[in-house]
Amino acid sequence: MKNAIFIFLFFLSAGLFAQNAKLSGTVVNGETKKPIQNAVVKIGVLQTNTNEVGYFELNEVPQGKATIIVEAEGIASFKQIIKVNKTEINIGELALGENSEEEMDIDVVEDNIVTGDFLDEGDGGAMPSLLNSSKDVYARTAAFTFGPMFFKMRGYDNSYSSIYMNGVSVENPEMGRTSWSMWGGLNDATRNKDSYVGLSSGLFGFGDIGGATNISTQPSTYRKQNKVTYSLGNRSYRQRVMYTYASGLNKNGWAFMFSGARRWANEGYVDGTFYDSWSYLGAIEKKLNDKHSFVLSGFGAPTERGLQAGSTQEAYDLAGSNYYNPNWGYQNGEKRNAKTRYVHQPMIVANHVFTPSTKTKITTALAYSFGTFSNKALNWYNAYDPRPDYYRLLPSYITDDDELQSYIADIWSGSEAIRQVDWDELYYVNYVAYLNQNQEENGQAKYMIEDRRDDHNRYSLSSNINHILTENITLSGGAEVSRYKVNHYKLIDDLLEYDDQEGNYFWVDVDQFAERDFPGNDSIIQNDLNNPNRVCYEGDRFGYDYDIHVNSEDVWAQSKFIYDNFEFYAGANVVHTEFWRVGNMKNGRAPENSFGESAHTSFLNYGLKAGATIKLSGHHYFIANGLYETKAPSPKNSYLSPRIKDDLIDSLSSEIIYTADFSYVIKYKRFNAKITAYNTFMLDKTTLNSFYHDELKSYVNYSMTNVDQNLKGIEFGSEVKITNQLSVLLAGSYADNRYISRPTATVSVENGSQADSSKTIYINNYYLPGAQAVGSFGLKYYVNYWFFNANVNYLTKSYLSFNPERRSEAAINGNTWYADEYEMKIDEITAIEKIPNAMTIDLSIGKSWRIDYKYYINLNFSIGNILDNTEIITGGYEQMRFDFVNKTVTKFPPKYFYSFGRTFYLNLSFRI
Amino acid sequence: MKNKLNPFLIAIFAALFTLLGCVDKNFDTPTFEVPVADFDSTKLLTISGFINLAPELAAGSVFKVDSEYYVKGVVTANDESGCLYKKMYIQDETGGLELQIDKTSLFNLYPVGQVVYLRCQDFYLGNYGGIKQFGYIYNGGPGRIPTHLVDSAIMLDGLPDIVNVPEPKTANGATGFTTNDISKLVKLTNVHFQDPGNLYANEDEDYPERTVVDANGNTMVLSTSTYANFAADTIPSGFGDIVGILSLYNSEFRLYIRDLDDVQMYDMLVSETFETDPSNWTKVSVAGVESWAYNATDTCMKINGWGTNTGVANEDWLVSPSFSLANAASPSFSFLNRRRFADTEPQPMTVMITDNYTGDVTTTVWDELSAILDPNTATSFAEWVSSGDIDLSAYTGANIRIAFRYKSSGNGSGTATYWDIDDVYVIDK
Repeated sequence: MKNAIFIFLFFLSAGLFAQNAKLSGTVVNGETKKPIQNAVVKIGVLQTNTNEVGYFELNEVPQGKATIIVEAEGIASFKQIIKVNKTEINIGELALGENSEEEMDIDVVEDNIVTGDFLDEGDGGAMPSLLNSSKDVYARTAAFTFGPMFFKMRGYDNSYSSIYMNGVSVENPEMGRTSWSMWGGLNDATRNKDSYVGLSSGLFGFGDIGGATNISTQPSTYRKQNKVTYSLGNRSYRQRVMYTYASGLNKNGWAFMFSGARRWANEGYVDGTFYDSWSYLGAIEKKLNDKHSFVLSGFGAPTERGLQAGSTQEAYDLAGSNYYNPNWGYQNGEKRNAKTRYVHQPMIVANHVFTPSTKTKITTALAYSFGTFSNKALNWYNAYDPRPDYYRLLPSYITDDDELQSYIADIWSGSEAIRQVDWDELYYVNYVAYLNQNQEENGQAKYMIEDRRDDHNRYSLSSNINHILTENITLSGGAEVSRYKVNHYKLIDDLLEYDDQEGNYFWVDVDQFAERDFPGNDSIIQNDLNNPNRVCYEGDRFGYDYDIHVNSEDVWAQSKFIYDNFEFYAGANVVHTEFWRVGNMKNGRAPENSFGESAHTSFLNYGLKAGATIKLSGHHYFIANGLYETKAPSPKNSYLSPRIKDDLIDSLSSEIIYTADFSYVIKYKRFNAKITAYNTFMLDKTTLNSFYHDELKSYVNYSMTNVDQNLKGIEFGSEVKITNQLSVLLAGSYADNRYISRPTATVSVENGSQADSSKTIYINNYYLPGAQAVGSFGLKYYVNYWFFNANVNYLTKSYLSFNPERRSEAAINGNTWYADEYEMKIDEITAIEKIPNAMTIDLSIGKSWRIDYKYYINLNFSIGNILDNTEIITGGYEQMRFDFVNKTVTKFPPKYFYSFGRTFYLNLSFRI
Repeated sequence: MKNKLNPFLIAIFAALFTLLGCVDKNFDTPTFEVPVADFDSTKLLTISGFINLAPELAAGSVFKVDSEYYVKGVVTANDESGCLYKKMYIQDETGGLELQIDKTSLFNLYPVGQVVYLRCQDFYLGNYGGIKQFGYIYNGGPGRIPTHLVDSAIMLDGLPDIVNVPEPKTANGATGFTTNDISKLVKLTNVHFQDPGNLYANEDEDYPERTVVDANGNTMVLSTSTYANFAADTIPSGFGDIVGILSLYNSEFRLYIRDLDDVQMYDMLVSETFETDPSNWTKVSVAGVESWAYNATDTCMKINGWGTNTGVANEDWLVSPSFSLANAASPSFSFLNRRRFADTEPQPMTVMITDNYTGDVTTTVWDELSAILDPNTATSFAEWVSSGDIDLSAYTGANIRIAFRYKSSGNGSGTATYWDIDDVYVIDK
């Protein structure tokens, strides 16, 4: 396999030379016939920008057939195949249709992060807003309309899409997924991107089954601009200001870009959720000559926000709102959120763009990223659970006294103080513990805010080459080397001390429940045997402290053949991954396998993909793609209990993926449609969930291996231009995503109160969580720089994330059911919950003004979920506890996340 | 067109940035205020007054407090060790009261020594198997105060202070309590466990019970819990004192200890209860015909200078065997005694000690110990009197003997006392 790739790469370097042409033309707005300045014109690797009168020139265009692509901000792109058979060609006017949709840059991914009891709640997981500008009607609808409702295209989460920034992968190597918040808020300066959805060929990497995107911050590819944007909304943030400056390429070969933004809310749509995000980007480019350009980009987005916690329907109903957020409470009259997240992961990328000939482009990138992902939350020791929606506090906990139950319900729904965190009590209890410390065995603080941190740094070196071999053949390939290290640890953030007690309180670094389970065993309770019974103060590390290292090397190659009626591509990649754990603490529950460097685990994986397009005529296309790959399990899913020890999950193996899709595409001037059928198998997946188990008073790691899934379905997208101004859009998909195996679950309790144990989970043929059928009908109307958009959207066939424990033998065994209720009871425990169907209507309206061809003003206003449907469950999960004794599912009911009700977003930008 | 940074737009940006407000994430720390209970002092009841709101309350019943009443008490026991679950006890000078609360980790808010005021209105006085409780109603019977109502039922007053806790009512042995002592802090003295070496609670026990026995064989059950943080501790041997909350089960008293500080057992260096006539004690008659003798009826040692020969003065010594205080840290000595009849002899009863016994009481240098001696001079015995704990730390490291010296004047009728000695203990606390 490896050899094949090297031969491939060898061929890439061979060039072919022929007489080249100079191509020129003018880009105009199809509607107004006015010239468009600064549009990007591309043929293969060649690229230029139009000038003030829309004129462009491209030199050294190879002879033969070429696809010319024209892109301009705010306008639908243009693509045409031309024949280059002379040395100088003027192709005349290229008219681009107006499409203001791209200005609608609502940050889809930033909305509505709801947390459960799970520990690893990364951000991302929903579909990227990056795909908003996709030309594919279905993909655009899925991302823009259904993305905020946590719809996943084809059921893939974002670990199955590859994201590159200036040619460097930005996927988190430990988690296997990408954190969008790295560049959140930098919409203007990350607008230039090359992306595809699903299976296709790309110029920047092997990609993945969900698609691939490369974001470019090369300043010269951005329209010259000075732009200020102000936005007002009522979603996660209330206001946004953004400034972007792009210089364009000057005479001396320099180009600059700067962008800064702030998004904030003292309280977002959900009570107690503040939002405070800053973002910055700077990029500088020097074009030495026609062959060499250097780009240096740096960006980051320090963002802090208060989170919402999912709750049970009982709590929502009693609180009178499906947006009830148990995370906050009043402190000195202000709402303080107990669960906050801070992310700041800056990245610096240095690029070298080398164009040795008109047929070859080599882009090399050296990148460094570092930063912090921090989650703060309450922690408590030997004290009452401070969460106001703790199940023992809800009326449903009382099962045999109706009068008392309804009284508790009245109290709960009648008092906000009861429903929220009682900070005053937490402060008071800590103070009393401090006063009493001589009387108590331990004397430490009872409550605190802990800060769970993941600090990483990463070096990447990547190089990609694109080479036009012949008129019909393009070769691409590249390699990337990455060195990643992340340090996971906890800090004591706030010991909730009264002002005059600052610095007095302390915390002893032992495991509280281990202490209760192993009385008198002073060694097993230690979180760090190297520093037993360590007394910690604010700012000290405690609990756990370990590093995960991930090294990877990736080589890929692809060739693409384009003929009049037929296109074909094939690609392959090889990835070597090596990871290990380094424990910085010697845990008392695993004294032999927690401290120091673990054994290294490595995987060699590869992928193959190929696809073909048959052009039946200029209007009908038939497309087929296939991919086979193996994927190393992410280090995050590989360690059974990484906070405690370096044990790997038993029978850890690579995931095997094979998939194929078939599309039929119709393209007419007034009508286009695409229908796709796909079928995907994901075998031998490994998953790991960590969650707080409030009976065991410990985090519990729940691993599943041998998880097989089959995801298949049909996607449809169509746009009909009824008049020049009015279009109708129809898009939808229907999927059948199921588990097709009985995985093995392994449970590891962090306080060591139970030995690790394994069991079979009976979920063969169960549906995967999430919506599996969606549909959207839309109208677009555009006239005189006004536009109107309306969409009706429908989601159905949605399922809740389930608790595997309820699908184990233990859940059924030992029951005392009567024969005639047996089946009903089994069904009650094991059946998967279907989420109600949901319908939403979205509207948007906008207008742009152009003054003296110098100033541009863009105003748009959109309303999401105009019917204010507050009953839309976007997801949720069954609690990971089950009442094995009474076999009732009502004791630990599911927790739900709801989509926002009616929201608005007003966006005003001013550009010179 | 040239494109330069536009100061005007930057200014707009900066203005929007700064003027539109900032996100306030810094919270003022709450200010500490000493909790003060808010109550009407004219509606204040004592604990016994509260219980007497429904003096005839039958077991299993509740009485709803319809009027505004408050009860003050000091927390004497809570759930800190895990031995008590969802309940705590308060006490005032009139009695103790059990509070039934549907919440765990009560000790964080209500440490021992915390003064609380109960706001009784709309809460319930319950009788659970003879124990009077402050709580709520559950299916018509006594129940716990629901979590959300705890703050309105129990008001803090001041900060907790251990000095607020009343001295436990002390009994000699395991008896001597009345129903008025239920839910009060009590102290059993000179008792021992029936099964030392066992654990306080074994994992498979639902309701672990341990029996405490006093010197007279009286017993009391001590309830523990597998959830107690001392469950896996071993029950100590030896005699000692046990403090706890007195409770009731099936009409029999029982005890809840709060934590292991409540159990003070001692190393027994000498334990002589005179079940038989001890061969290793020496009876020396220095003067007179009478001598120390064994009283088999009452299993104790006795001396009476009267005898059959009146008019004869007596001096008699009862000398203990030698024992070592080599490893003792804080040895202490106690015994029981009783006396009757008067004598003109100024010091008929003396307790002595020596660390250098010559074998002859008259040549040995003795130190006199200060003990509580029965003053009774009536013709019949009253109760046994404990000597009190006599500190022997001055003799740490030595081999010692203890002696009881008896004297009578021998001058006619009423010229000799009658003295009994029993339960001689030397313990190391």
